[in-house]
Amino acid sequence: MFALNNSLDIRPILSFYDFNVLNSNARLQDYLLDTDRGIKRLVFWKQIEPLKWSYFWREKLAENGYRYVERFIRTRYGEPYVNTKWGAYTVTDYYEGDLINITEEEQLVDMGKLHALSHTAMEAARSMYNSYPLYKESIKLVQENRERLENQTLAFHERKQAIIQRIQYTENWLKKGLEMGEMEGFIVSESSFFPENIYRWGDEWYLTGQYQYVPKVIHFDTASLLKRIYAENDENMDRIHTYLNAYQQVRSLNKKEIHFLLAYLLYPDELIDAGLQSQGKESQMPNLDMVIEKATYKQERWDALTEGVYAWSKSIIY
Amino acid sequence: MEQINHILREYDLFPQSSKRVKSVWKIDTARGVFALKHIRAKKEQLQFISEALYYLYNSDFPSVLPFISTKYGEPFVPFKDGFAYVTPWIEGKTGEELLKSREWIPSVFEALGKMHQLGITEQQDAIPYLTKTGSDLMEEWQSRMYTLIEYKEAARERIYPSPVDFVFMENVDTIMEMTEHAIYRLENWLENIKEKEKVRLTFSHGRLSPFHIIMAKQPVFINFDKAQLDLVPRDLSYFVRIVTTKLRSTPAELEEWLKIYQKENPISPEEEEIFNISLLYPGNLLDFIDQYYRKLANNRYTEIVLVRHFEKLMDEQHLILGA
Repeated sequence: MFALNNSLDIRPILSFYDFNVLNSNARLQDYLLDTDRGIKRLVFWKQIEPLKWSYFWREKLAENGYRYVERFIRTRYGEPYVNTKWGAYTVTDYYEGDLINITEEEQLVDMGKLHALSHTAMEAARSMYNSYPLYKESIKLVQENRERLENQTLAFHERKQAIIQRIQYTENWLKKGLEMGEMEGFIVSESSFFPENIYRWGDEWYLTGQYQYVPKVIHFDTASLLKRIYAENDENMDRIHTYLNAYQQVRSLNKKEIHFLLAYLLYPDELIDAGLQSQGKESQMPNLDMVIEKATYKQERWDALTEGVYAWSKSIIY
Repeated sequence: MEQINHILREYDLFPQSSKRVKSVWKIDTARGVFALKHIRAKKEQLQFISEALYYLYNSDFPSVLPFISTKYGEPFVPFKDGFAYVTPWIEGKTGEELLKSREWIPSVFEALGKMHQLGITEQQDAIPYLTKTGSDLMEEWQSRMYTLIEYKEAARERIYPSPVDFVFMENVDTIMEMTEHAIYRLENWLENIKEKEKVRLTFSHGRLSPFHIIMAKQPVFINFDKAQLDLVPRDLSYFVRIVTTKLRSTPAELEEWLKIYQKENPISPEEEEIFNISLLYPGNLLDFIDQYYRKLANNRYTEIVLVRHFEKLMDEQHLILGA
């Protein structure tokens, strides 16, 4: 029963905990444990640094008064994780129930506030993670993608320059943020904050999951979420304002963070993907024009969103 | 109840039923019965209490219940305007029920002695603090003496004295004598303590009464909300006052019980003296008199009720002095 997932025997790990496991189920990224104290998740971490960072911000969020967050259950020896020579294991509660609905205005406000609270906790945890290389890496990645596109001889060359220019915008915003951050230190956040992370239990929203193992530059998550809110609310900019205002009520976005947010909103993900996918395969992709058109159409939506966020940000910092 | 469920989740406790008993929720779960208590206290105070109870319990002292930790390793959780903590639920006689008999009392003195002995800490730096708080206390007692004199003058000059005035005038000299005597002895005690190198403090319950005791296999002390490091006689005089007045214990009984206590935690002559001073000082009487004369216009009780209460307090103070 416990020798699942590449024949890994998790019994020695479970013996560190106070609960009794009745059944276990290996999934792609974790184990679900049916225990005499409810359903739990067992997660494996290859690296200890992101684990400690993740532990710290979760505890900080609880300490700051928001108790409804997935936290690491202590072992019978009082430790928040079990260390092994391959990596570490954490156990948390498993949550089921209704997810937060980002098309409901009131819930959008709740989510904005919760996002800000979690960022405040992550900000307090910044000393736990050596984030400077991560920031440098994020710029390097953008640069590399730009260079790859520049060197590419592909069919959609008439759009190429426009895409490259966009990537340069992102690069510039990131660099601006980085220059400012060198003075103040860097904040990292989990790489995503989506409705799938927020469950209703009783009368409260529980913040769950967020195990991507490696954090990202702050507002990578916000940019992805704003795109989703924008798409699911029929491109209604008012909903974006609702969200950002709720966030701002709890935690102020400074100029540096706005730079990062705009950088990630500007980054033409879909266009780059379409462009890089097509390299060397022009003849095999008769629908390349369609792929590019589709990506361009999407990008135009994100442009409108970015403009809206930029206008909003001017009202708070400029 | 909704909010309680979130707290219980932090303990992996899933209630099958629950009911509120005063400030405590009795929670029935598959893992047993637990008590969840709401407390308005500072975090540091609660931290101190939880650590002390944990230490006592692990020192083989079963008369306290340690706080159960949440699954995240915390001894208590924020709740409303304070905190909540969870302990096992203990069944047994408590409160008024205990006041119907006295066979439980020796075991409480024994447990209290053990607790105080385990909680002893000898502190040098407590002497300046004690001297300061002792001097403040003495000043307060003196000021109350002056107020008593003012009340006496006013009552004497009243053309139509009230029934309480009559009782007051009958007893005021005795009360003043007790107060003066207590002040004098406190002053001496303070002079004496200044010369000491160290002073014994112990983990004190702060309000040990039958309402904070559950008689299970052994007495279990609960509600440590006011607990602090204090002089050994603090709990002792508080508890002696209660058993003497509510159960009308005889001097012989009290002597026997104090012997039981001292078997576990012998008290020094200085501690005995502060114990006697705290019994001598007629605090309850002074409170009553003060309340009566300050709120004369809006008293909620009839004069006859107040007279009876006054006489009861006088009687109790005599009992305490007799003990």
